[in-house]
Amino acid sequence: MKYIPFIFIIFVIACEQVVDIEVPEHDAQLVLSSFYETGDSEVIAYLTKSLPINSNEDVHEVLDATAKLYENDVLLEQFLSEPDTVGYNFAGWNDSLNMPILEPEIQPVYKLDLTAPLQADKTYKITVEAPGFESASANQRLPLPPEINEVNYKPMSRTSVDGYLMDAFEIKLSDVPDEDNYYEFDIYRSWDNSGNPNEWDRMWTESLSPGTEQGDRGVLLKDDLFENGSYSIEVLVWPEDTSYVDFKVEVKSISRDKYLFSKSLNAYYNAQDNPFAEPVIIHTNVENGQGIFSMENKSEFIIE
Amino acid sequence: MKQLSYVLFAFACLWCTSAEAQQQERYTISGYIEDADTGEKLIAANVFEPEKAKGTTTNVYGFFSLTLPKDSVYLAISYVGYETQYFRMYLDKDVTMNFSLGVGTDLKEVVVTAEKYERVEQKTQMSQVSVPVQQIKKLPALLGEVDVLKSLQLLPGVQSGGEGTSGLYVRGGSPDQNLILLDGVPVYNVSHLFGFFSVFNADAIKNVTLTKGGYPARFGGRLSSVLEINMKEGNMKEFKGTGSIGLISSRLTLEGPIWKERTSFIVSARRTYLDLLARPVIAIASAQAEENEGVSFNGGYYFYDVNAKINHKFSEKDRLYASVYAGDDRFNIKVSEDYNYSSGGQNYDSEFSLKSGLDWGNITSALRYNHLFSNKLFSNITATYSRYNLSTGIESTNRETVNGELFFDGAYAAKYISGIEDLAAKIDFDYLPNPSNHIRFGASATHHTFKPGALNFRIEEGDEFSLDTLIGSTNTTSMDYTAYVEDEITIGQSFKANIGVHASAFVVDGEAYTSVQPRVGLRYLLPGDVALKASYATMTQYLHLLTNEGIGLPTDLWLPSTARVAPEQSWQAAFGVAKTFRDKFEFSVEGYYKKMTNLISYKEGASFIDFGDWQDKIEQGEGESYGAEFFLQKKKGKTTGWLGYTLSWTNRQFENINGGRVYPFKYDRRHDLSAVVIHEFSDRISASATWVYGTGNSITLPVSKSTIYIPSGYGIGYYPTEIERPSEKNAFRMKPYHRLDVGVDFIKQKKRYKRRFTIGAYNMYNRKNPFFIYSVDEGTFNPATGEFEQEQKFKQVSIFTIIPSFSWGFEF
Repeated sequence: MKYIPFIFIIFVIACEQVVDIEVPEHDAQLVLSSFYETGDSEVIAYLTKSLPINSNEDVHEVLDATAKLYENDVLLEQFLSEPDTVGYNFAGWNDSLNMPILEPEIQPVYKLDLTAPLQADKTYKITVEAPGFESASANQRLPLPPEINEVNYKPMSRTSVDGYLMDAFEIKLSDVPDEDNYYEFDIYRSWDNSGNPNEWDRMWTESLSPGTEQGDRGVLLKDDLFENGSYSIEVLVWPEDTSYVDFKVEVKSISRDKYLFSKSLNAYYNAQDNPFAEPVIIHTNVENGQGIFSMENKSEFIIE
Repeated sequence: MKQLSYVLFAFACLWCTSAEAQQQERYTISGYIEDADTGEKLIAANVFEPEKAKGTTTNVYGFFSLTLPKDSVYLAISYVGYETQYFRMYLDKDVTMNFSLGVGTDLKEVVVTAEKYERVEQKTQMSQVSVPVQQIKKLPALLGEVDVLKSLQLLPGVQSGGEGTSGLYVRGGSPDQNLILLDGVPVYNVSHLFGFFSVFNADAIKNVTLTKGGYPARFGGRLSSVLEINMKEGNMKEFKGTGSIGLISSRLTLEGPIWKERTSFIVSARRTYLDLLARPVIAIASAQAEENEGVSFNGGYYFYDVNAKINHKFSEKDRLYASVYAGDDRFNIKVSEDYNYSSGGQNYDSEFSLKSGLDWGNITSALRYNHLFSNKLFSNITATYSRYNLSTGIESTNRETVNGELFFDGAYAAKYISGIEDLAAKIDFDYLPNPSNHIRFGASATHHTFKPGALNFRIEEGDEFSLDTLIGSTNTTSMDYTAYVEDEITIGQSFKANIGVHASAFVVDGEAYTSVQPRVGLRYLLPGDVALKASYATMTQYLHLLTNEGIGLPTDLWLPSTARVAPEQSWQAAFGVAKTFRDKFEFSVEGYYKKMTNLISYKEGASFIDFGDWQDKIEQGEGESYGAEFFLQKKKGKTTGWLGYTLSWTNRQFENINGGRVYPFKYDRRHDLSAVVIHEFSDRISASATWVYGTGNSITLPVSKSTIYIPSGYGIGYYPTEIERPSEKNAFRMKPYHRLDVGVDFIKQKKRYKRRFTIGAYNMYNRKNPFFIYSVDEGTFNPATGEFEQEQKFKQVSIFTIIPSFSWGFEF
């Protein structure tokens, strides 16, 4: 409905004349995607390359890179390139054989198996080199686990922005004052009581609590509003019949980079197909490149 | 507070110095200066005693007061475009004298000492321009619609937002930072037709003054400019009328005395007829669509505005003014479709209708009472009411029958409403104890009601389902209090100062914000009548406009400062030089620096389409603007006009936008040049031309694309997502904007009326100026590979290529 003015201007008043314009040139950069969570037995990195916006090229994967992981500036290990074929894409038709030409869809995976878990409060760095690209790197400190003081489940107790009744989880947290801390919240449900982690089903979350932001996965929080190192947040989920469902509340300490990345990615998704939306620049912490290297530490709380 | 104490100290020192020379017997001449033909009071007319080099100017009500030593005095009363009057008398008591000035017959000859008093180098105020309405009316205009705001865009330091739009971007500020006062009442939405025309009807306007910096203490509430627009008062002597018929609208203004020399009125109305012109075209298209597809439609758009004012002179000491402005824009569309078919022996009938509309408009009204307490103390009490409302809605009905029996009956409606409403009272005093001091002081209180956007949904589906719900923010009220005092001080022949302080308080939701804003303006006259000027002003703005940068949509929201959203603040320092050459050319150059804090902007990815709490959609950050403005103006002779050039930089910085890095404001314009020429060939023919050039607007465009892999969170690994990425916010520049407009007026005095025929052309050399840029994926067939290749291209849309215009007008 609010598009009416725009439509009106374009179709009624405007004498539209369209001309091509040239955009600035772009030098291809390495794009790193790596998300580590405590408990992971390996560190995974995906490597692609950026292309000029008007490029016809489809191939984004970078398969010949050298990626290394450093702990407090000491080399820990080199990643191994293990491209993963996840499917096939139609690439044309072979008339002589009268059959489609299929190209494998490859994900540019680099893996590093851990012999020992990565340690909280240490700084890690990934460096990436590949022929034809400027070397890229990203730093992260593995945060300390968050301290959950209390979780209260309040079924059908809050109204969402859209006017729906929601279940609320009141989560009380503590953290170190005089230090910037960032959190991400996940709520999982389980339909049986087996306790098998694979049975946990992640739920969509949102929050009306002050200081919260919506990320691409769910609710984010920065500790600006913590008083004396503690804060209480309400995370809302769609209502469930609690007779059959258990809940797991997962609170993750995340870095500022992950916080900004997740928030900007969510804004980017929301802005797509909205001609009035302000442009979004997705946050990156990769020097001389793009993408994200993130490390997070979590604590959980089960409600049965 | 430290700044305030400096101001008060300076104020006290200057007061003592200026008062030192006032110790002899003195008397006061006071009164009003008016137009001899119409009785309209003249604003900023000069009363000058050349032998004593003392003078003053009239205030916005035409009142002056000049206190001189007991002696023979020789007064020159002058005003641009009017014949100067001279008057000699022996001043041995306080006297009240009113003067009527007639329009000058030969302006070239009127070069008298008195006129020096009104020259740019004589004024303390810097960064201020008054454009005579008669000059505005002679400028070429888009579609022949004379537009006050667009004429101001031709001044240095003032930019337009986009092609054809009437928004003002003053010294790096945004349009919401302009305090636009119509007879002293703030006007919140100044656009008709989505920003292409302003709401001000030039036929009803007497005076337009724009202040870009060095704000006197009597103004406050906005960061970047003050635009004072005064409506005419109505002819006190005889009944007069003017009107015109143009391409898209017609205007009619009537004015005259109700009680001669006592009470007068003016009524001015304007209406567009786009809807009427389009009606036959729409009817034909609808008939064809109904015949072919069973769809009929109708719709239209128009705007109107009405200005009315009445004023009554109770006595020489008491006058009453009542004025009102009302204007609305209305857009509607209606579509209906009947559909029937048979299948399986069943007859299905479907009736569907859809109505949609968008209405917005302002009402401003003011009741003002002037009272002269003495010949040195003038007062004005004002009560005002204003409101801005936006309403947009959509309604649809759907009725289906099977074999004549009702199968489905549904009705859906959604309505979005927003607005702001003000009730205000204020009192202002002008106190002129001697020629060296002009003190102004006053106070005001304003009650705001904000309606920051609510959406009402209604759904009726037979007896089965019914919903009526309201989503969105609730109304908020606030109180805004101000008080000010300022003194225009003259010390000797060379030094003048305007020193004052503006204090304000804003109370909303239990939160109270206060602000004390010092203001200083200085002028020092060097030998050779070269004036050095400097000013410093701080401003606080409690109201925010939540707007998308770009076209002036009526969906923009005015919102208050709250506990979460702090008031916007700025300080601006300016330094300049001004000089008049050969009694014809005024030249000034000014440099300025403006710092703004707590500016608001939509978050990345947010837009006005999202519902929910507006406070969650915005960021607060900083901005700065600095630059230099050059202005050469010729006010007299057969050829008049000006040349303006601005070199400027404007940046913004928000913690969560562009990664917290500084980026150029969308309307950061490095070079902005405007040339305006008006030439009177004879009493019957005049021609005008304007040429503008501006650096292209900055814009954010993606320069690269890539794939990133995101953890799914559901235990099934990562998924690829393609993203586009700009290098930086607003890092790309649109092409420069330039345009030539021309117009010719043919005037003929008929037996009973004067006829004016105007022809003109907008964008004379058909420049394709950028309006906006969008991206599109284009596929081209490559014969070498036998494949279609997709390529993302950017397209620039230009509107308003060469547009001729004409209008026919009359005066009687």
